Amino acid sequence: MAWIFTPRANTVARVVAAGLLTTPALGVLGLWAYARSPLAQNLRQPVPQPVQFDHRHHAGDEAIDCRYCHSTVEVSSSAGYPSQATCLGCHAQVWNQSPLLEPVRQAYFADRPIPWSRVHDLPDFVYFNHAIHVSKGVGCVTCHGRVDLMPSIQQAQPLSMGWCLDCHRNPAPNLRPLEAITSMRWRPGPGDPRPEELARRYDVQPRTHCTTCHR
Amino acid sequence: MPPLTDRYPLPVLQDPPGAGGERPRTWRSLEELQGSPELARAAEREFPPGAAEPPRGLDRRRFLQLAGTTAALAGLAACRKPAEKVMPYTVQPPDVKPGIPNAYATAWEPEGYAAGLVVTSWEGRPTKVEGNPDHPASLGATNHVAQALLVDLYDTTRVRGVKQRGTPRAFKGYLQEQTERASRLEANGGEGLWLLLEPSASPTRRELVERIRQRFPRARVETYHALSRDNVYEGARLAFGRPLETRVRYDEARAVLALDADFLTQGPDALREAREFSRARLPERGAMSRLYVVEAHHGVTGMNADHHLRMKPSEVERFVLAVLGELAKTHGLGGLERYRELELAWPEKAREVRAVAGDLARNGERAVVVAGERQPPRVHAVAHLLNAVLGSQNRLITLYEPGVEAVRSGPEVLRELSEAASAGRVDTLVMTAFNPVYTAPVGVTLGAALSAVPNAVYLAFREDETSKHSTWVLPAAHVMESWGDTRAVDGTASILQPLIEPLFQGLTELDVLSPFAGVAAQTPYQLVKSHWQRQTGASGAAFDDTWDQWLAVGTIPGTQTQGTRATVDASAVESSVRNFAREPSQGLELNLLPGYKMRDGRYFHNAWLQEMPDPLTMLSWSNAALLSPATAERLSLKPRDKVKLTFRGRWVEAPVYVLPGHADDTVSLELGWGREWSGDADAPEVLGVNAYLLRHADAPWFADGLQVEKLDERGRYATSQDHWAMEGREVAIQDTLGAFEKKRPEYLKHLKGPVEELYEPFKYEEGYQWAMAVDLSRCIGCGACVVACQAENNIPVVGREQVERGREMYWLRVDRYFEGSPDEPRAIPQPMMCQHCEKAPCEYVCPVNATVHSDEGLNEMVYNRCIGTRYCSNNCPYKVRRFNYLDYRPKVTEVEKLGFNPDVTVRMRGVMEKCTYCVQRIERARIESRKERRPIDTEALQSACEQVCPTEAIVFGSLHEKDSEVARRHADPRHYAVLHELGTKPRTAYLARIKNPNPELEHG
Repeated sequence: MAWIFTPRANTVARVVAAGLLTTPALGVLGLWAYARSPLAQNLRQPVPQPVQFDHRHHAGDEAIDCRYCHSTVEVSSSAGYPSQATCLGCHAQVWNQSPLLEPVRQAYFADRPIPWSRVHDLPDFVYFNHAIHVSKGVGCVTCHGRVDLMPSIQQAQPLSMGWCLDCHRNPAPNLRPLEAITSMRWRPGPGDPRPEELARRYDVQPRTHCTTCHR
Repeated sequence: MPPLTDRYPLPVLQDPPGAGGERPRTWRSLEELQGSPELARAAEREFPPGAAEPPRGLDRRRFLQLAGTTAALAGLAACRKPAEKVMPYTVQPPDVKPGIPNAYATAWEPEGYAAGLVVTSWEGRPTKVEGNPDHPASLGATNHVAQALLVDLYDTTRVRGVKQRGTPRAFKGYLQEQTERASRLEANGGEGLWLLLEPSASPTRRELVERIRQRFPRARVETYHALSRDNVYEGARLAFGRPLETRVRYDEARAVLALDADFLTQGPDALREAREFSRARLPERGAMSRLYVVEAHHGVTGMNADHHLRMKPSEVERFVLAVLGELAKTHGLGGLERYRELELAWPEKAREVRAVAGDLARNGERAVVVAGERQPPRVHAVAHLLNAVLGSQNRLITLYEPGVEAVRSGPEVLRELSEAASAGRVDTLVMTAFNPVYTAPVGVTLGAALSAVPNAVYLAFREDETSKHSTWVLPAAHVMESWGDTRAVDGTASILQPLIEPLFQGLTELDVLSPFAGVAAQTPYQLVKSHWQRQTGASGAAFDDTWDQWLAVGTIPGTQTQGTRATVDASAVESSVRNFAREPSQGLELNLLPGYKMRDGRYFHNAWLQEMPDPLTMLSWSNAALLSPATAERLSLKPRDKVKLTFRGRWVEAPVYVLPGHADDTVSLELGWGREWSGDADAPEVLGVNAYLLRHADAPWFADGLQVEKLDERGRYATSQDHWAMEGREVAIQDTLGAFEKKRPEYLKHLKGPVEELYEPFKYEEGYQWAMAVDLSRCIGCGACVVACQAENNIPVVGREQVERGREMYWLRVDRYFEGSPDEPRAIPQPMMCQHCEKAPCEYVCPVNATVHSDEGLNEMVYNRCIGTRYCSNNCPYKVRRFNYLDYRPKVTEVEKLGFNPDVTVRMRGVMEKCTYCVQRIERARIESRKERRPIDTEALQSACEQVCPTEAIVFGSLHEKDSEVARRHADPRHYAVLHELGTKPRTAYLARIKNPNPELEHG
């Protein structure tokens, strides 16, 4: 009578056993890797918008300060989106015939809001506040990236809780003088105060307790 | 089953040292007092039986199927999160900054008079109501109803658009037709024109009404309110010769006799009076006041009495006359000589009468007698007389000319209207009073009569019994959608400004009256503004500035009056007293009460008020027939038995609620119930019993001759009094002033101070140390904090069935305890919320770290970590954690979403939640102060419950500031920690409730 299990069966069994053990591990590893991938974190994904607004032109070429349009960034949790009146403040004079601006003009005269798509979308149980970050020396570019180089706004940082906490635990490397808060090109120069000095000057004491962000 | 303590001989379950037998045991319900086995079984379980079951109509299998399908579909659809839309303004309003709420001052008219409000608005969406600290009738507080106003604002069942016999019409059409009709009516002086309005102190409305009166001299302009104040004005007419409003300085009073008067929660100046009353209840501030409440039921004021003297409502009159006689005879009070010869004594109550009269006489000008709105004019007149002879009329009382038209406005008005309408003498009827058909007394078939009126106009908030019979139904604007004006009792005028454009094309009373006053072309805004422009005499830009100032402050400076003087017409009162013929009350008495939450029924469709537990009965979603324990026993009735209440040949069926402290031989029934609730349920159900079916125009409040018959059925009601039972532990502490003074240095020593600890104590080093203190001596148990917490923290309404299962979601509840015998109990209200224990038992058992502690002493709850094991709730000794068993907002409409507080997460199903000490307010204040690099102004930082509290019973703050009120209370001799022996070190301190009973009544 032939053996039921030939010597090869040992190998098969080992491979199967190894497979059974590694498959879930690989699966978990895969999910873990996916969760940290730019795809899962929404990084660098262009989001279609109702108006082809180009930050490269406005923030870059024209060097308009961020706060001209995002006017509540220093006082409110929300940085604020410009009203159509803000757009037409300039575009009633310049490019006032541009077909690209047709939706803006229509919206303004019809008194209907433009439904922009949110790019930096935090979960609803996160209460982020722009004003406190800006007043403590965290610049726009730190979280939003080089907006002046983006034809359409994309998310530059993961905006994950771990990423937030990294800075809340050690904010100094991300601080800059308040005069350069909206600057896209600022680099610490030799004459600039050291990060620790900035932290002291602006009384930077970020908290890491749950209710700091979750309420 | 043997009690818990026998089965588990753990030290923690034993009575704490020092507790034994010193203080009478507190209990919440008769079932608990008598040790009902069902209740004991229920208390064994952490969660009530069936608490984890899914809702009716969806069994577990079906639920899993649905859940599976949903998950599969969701998985497919969720490859990419849909982009959220952001809508900027077309033109940004200068005052609106997204993310920063604005606050606007306005006012409302709860009882015809103003109470100032400050409403929080997020980008034009009102989300929270607060009191206006600068308004004399609010002082920063509101009552429970004001907190729930927003539910009505966002109610999608409101009347939408103008309708003429069911056909939608434009408001312009209404104006045109009524203007034409008005000019026709003008020809015959307004014969056949009727106006049925509510009492209102609005100066602009008064002006319009005056114009209507001049234009139509033969028109009938009537005021109607089911809970009319006729008795108050008639009583003043009797005593002073003219109607007057009375305001009492309770903080100065030392003896108060309240005759069926719930002055702490009812009446036009209740908030201010409650605050002043509570300030005289603090042993550390010197002499405490003593409150005697004479009443049949057990109301909020009765709950705060030092002596709650129970009697049939009709006997209150006899009691005050006996007091009058006693003061005249025994004490020989000057001014009462003419009563010495009268036989006014009441032998059965001689002891109480003697004690009360003695106290009043002793305190003289600091003793005051107040009469309730339900008591006949004679009681009011005698109260005025007593205050005059005691001297308190000069010391404690301010009299004001009524700001409302103090005319007869009770049910009698409806009878006349009904007769006129049936006889075809009414051509045009304008009704802005709430639902007269529903509130009409027995014998007035107003509905049928209305159908005979060719032009019946009804300004309705919702479709109701009256709108069915009306020709024109106009959508009423909410107070937060209206321009208007009003006055407080002391004359202080306020402008009502809208917070939001009318959501459902609502109209104000001024809109409706305008065609008859000949001002149809003007909007309410123009009417109000021009009225006040004429008052000031200013014009143009100068007046615009003043106007803006008024709107910003919420009151009009210089309109406050100093009150008026009046002398009691002694002979008029005397002849009234001489006419008193006591007909002995026979058998059972029917006692109709204004709804504590429903008022006359106008808040019936308000889900927050429906669910809020009544302060005494803890009933939600219905009323019940209230009886005393002795009467229930005599009639062999048990709680929840259904009875048939027959009164003068008409009957209703109601469940029995046995209320400790209720008067014997009296059955109390709240008005305002018994209508169809269409809310969430698929099939509308009738909630409660309509007590108007037993109300007669000649006996609007109480009368004898009630028959009670027990039915075989069991009735149904939801009461939360036995939920979260404390198993008889020493939780709510009440003592007499004498006992407190005697034990003062050592007072409650076993409930404070250090306890043994297993773990190293955490060192709290951060600056702010958040804490709360609840002074039970000040707390009157009104329940405003419960609704304020609900509004602030997006707490869902769970519905009647879920309340019956013990699933109510309130983060803050007001437990009501009784102490003593069921017949003569002393009530203790106790607000109970998360105690933010420094050693929180909930934190140790959470497997996923969803509840953790902050370095500032907050017990934090992280919803997105919670997986719903409910271990924390199991381990919480205070029973303050609430679990979302179901999705309580499955059908929330876009309109209702406007009312959510955007600063607080809306929790999903399967998540635990609890009081956070309003952490969203802390963090907002922290960010503001950190931006400006200054410390948080902890005195200005208020939790929602603290802010609303009329009596300053709750304070919140930081213990690191040693001179803060919260730190002071944490060091007060009366302070104690609930369940101190467990070593949880709660951050919420309670201050014992001190009573000031009269020694004469205490013993013997």
